[in-house]
Amino acid sequence: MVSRDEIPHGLLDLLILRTLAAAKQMHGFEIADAIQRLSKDVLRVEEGSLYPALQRLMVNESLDSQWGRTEENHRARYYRLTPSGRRHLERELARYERVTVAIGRVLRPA
Amino acid sequence: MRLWRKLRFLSRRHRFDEDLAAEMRLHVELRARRLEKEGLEPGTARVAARRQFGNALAIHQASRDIWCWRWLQDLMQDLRFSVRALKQHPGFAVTAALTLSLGIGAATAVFSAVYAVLLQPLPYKDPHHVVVIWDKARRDREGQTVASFDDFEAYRGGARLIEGVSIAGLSRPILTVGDSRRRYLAGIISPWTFDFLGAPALLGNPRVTGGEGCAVVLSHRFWTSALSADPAIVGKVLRLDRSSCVVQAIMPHEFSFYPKRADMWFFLGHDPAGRQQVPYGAIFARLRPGVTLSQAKAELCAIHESLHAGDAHGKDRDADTDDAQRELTYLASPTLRSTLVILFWAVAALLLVACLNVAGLLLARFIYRQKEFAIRSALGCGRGRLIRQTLVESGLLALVGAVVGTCMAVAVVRLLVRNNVTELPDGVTVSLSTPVLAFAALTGGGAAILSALAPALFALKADICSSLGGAGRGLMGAPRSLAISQASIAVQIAACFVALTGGMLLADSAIHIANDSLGFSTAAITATHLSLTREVDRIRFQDGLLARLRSLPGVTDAAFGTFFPPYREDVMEQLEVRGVQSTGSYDVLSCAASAGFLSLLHTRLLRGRMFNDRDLPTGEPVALVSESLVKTHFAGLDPLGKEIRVNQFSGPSPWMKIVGVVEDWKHLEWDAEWADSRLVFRPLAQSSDLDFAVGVRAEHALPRLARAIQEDVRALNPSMPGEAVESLDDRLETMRAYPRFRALVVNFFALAALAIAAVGLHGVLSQIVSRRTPELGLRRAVGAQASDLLWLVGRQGGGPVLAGLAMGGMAAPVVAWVLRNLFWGVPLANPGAIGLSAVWLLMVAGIAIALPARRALSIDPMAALREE
Repeated sequence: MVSRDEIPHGLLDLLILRTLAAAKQMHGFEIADAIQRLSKDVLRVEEGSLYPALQRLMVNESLDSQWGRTEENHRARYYRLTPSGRRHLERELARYERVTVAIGRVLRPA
Repeated sequence: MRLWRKLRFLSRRHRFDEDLAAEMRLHVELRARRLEKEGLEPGTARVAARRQFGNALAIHQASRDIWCWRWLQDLMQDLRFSVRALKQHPGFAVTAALTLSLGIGAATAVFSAVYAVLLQPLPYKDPHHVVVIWDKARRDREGQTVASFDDFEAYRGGARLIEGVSIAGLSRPILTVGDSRRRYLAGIISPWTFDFLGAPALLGNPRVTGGEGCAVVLSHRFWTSALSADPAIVGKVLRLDRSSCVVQAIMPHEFSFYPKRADMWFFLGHDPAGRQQVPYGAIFARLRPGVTLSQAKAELCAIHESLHAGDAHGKDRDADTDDAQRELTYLASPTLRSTLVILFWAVAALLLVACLNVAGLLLARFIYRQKEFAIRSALGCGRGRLIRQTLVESGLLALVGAVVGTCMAVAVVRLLVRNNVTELPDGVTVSLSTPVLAFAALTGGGAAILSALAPALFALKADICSSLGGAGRGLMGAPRSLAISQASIAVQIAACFVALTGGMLLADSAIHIANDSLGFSTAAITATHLSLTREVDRIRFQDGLLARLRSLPGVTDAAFGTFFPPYREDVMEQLEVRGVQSTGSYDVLSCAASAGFLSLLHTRLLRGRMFNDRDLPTGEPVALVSESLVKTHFAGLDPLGKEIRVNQFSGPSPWMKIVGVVEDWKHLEWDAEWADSRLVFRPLAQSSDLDFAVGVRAEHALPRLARAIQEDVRALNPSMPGEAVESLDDRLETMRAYPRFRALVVNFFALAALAIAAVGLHGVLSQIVSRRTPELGLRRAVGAQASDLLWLVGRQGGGPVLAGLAMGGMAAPVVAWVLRNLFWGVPLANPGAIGLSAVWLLMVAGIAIALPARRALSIDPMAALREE
């Protein structure tokens, strides 16, 4: 089993947005699952903490949600990226890249 | 936007909770299934899924906090809880809320008057630097008079510490519009007055702009009532005292100056007569920056002294100056300021007591709910949360109290305005303005905090173990805090007793004022003032008018006299009896009367004869005197046939022979009591007065009659100015209004205090019963009778009540004495009023004691002992 790292604090929002940007809509479990899968099981979502993050993104209107049915006919809430959420994602991504490059420079001076 | 979403969330939080829970459940279930597929046992999979998910409750709470502020949720929860708790005991809730609303309502109503009269600044620039300068007797505190023009010029020329010195005198100009003429009240003021006051006009420019002629500035009231608020009037001409006066400006509604009821102001040198000075006047000035009132006063006194060095005036008179707002209030009514200030402190005390008593009630409730508190804190409820709970409960009560109280204040203010309380100065409108509402909100908040204080302290000290273990065991007898409450109840009862007694006395005096025989009857009499000029034949005019008035339809009688009753204490004249050394005191009032005057007023003749047609100018001068004059000036002698004369301002009257004695008229003194007037009546024909009044008894309504009288007067003498026609009944009613209003206020106050004290008493006894429930149950179980328990509880309440009655009984004369020195006309306490208020108080106290006592009786011994 590969060792699994905690998601760095504050990055969860970014991951959720990125995950949803790739799909049309997803419910909570799918999001958590997708993050784990895409990160090849390296990043582990502490699954419950996904929900406050989802609420936070709904409050600032990056996401909206609606109730639907899963393939197994379970009632589930599906989340979707809004246009303003897409812009938010781009901003956050740009910021993240700036920061990583800067940190990289500090850690490995040329 | 975000705020709106957060608030909207509040109404949908149940739905939110359900949704989130469903979502999280699904997540755990799907995870468990996935783990099962990966080969775990179903049970283990479920546990692992849950572990992987984390603390569901904390996550739920965290999600919810993102949507809504935590404190708001808590507040909503506390509010819901409080409403439920209060609903459970509606009697308690209503009592507490009513107590607070009485306190807040009374305070707000009084504050609205205080604000309007004392606090709202005069509409001048920098109003607190405007002062009034008087002439004052050195010894007599009340002897303030207007100053002379010489003084004014000396101050204007010499004073360095004040600026804008200006004088204001009075005149009574006649306004002619078409062929109607009416007299108005005007001030004659220095031309720079409005500039120095910094009072802008509503329309026009309040300065002399048009050269030499007469110039007038109109008050808002005159402009609206006499000129129908004609906006084009500025620059036009009014006929005033036969001069053409150019209207310079209209002052705004809120502007007021000296004289208080002025209809208009003329500028000195530009009044209808073109006078360059007024003999006397009130002097106004502005303190220069940084100058205090006492510095200015010292300077003015020095100027006054050097001006009057050596003359008789300077010997015993001095300059005096005071704040204009204070002085204008004083001019409107000498007692208004002290009345309001005392009333305000009284209602503030009432409010404080109301809060403390509600605190007592709440405390009793919380002691009763001790277990609930203990359980809540055992379950992890923090002390802060408990204290907040008590604050929310008292806050809710205070909110209801503030709303109901403000409504009560609105009603009281309406009553105040409608009753046209004579004491309120003109131009002052009492209303619920923003500062008044802010005051109500502030007192409401203060009341909430104050009444939550005791219960909050209780919650702070709440001890889980002892509460859950043995509820309130060993609380025999009253702890210290209860002893303090009992003492406070005693003081409240004492204050109530005094207030009730005072209220009864005032009500008694108001009833007397309404029902006393006054020696005259004003029923259906309408009167107006007339002033003739020398060239008119007085006798012909009077006879002609009388004949015309008597022929008016509905008129039953008409007569002339110098003045008509009722009247207030007035300037007095001096009586001389021929052959007797004059007493020198100015204690009689003379009135010239036509033959039918006294019979028109239904004043009875006691001895001798009335005037008749033979009392002509050429005949022997005669007089009628009133009963009390006989008592003071002819004690033990027969007045008939004696000769008297009256020294008036204009000089002594001729010697007159007394031909009859009539009953006394009563006049209203400043202390709002009727007192006998010592009267001398002379035949109108034998006096040379040109100013007199005519009265008509008629069945008609006033407006039609007034028009008819004015038409008759004009028909006989077209140049006579029309004066206000007034119903004597109305005049009497106005004079009775103040005593009645005062009785109403004091009684309302006393009853409010009584209600609040009763609530306090009830609260203290309920606390005692709550604390001693186990003890009372035990007593019941070992055979105590109902009467024993009643006695036990009753004693706790009866003690403070009796102590309060004793204190009040002792304090009442002292308080009455102090009040008599502060206010005129507070009657002395009499045994009847004291006894009646004691009975009244005992009755209410009995009810307040009986309710908690009944609860003590209904204690079930088994239930009470089980609590042990």
